[in-house]
Amino acid sequence: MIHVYAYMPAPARTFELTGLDDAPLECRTVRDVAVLFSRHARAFEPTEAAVRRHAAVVEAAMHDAPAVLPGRFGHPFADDASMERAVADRAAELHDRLRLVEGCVELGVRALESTPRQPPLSTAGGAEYLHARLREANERERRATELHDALRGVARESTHQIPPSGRVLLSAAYLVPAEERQGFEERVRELELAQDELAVVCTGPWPPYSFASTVAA
Amino acid sequence: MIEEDTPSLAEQVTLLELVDRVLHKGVVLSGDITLSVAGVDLVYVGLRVLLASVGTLERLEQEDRRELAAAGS
Repeated sequence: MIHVYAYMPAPARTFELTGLDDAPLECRTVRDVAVLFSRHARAFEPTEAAVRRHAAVVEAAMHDAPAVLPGRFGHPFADDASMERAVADRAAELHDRLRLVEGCVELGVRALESTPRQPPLSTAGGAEYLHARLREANERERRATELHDALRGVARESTHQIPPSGRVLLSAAYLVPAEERQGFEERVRELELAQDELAVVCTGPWPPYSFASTVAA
Repeated sequence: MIEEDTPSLAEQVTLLELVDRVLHKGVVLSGDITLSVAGVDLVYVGLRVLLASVGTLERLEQEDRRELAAAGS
């Protein structure tokens, strides 16, 4: 089977490092998409070591190529023919995505409540309780959206989730031009300082994992 | 020097975010899936146990605020 690490614009590149199980990396071009992969006799369980190796190869590709779309772990091709067919079929979408992420990094943001809010008292009447829960959910949504709106401005694209309950108020990823990265991180720090009850944590820069999929998640 | 047996919390959070990305984001062009649900669950359980063992988010927040305070002074 063929394990794909990354899709890049042509030409094909060679890499010093090795892939999963220390297998040699191969790079093949299909319709101007360079596919970076390694061949294996078995499928891989997502151990920490395997995940880290996959990520290291994606990082290396990102340093070498002008743009990179990470492949998802655990979705191998059976053989060369099925890989070539799949890439050829989706080449136009892959090129669109490669243009979108070119020159950008992904930055992750998580906003966490520093003190969990008291859930409404369940001893209150049924309707009252439900109203309180609804108000709480709306309030979370409002605060999370406010944060997200303050950050999405410089991002070329973004994706976010607002969990309905729990300490994580906002979990988001932003595709930010590399030269705007520092400004973005400063913005996150300002937001963090402006909010007493929230910790706003920025991770990355990541290769554009969250913006690579040609199909909406 | 204290020997570090466990990775720092920041490293663990970064690892959790990394695993999220590698396993659930990225391009899928193949119809084949070789990941077993059990395998994925196992790696997450491992990560969450690590995180829980050091006091999870409280610590993260404290460290984050300390860093901010240090950066601001």
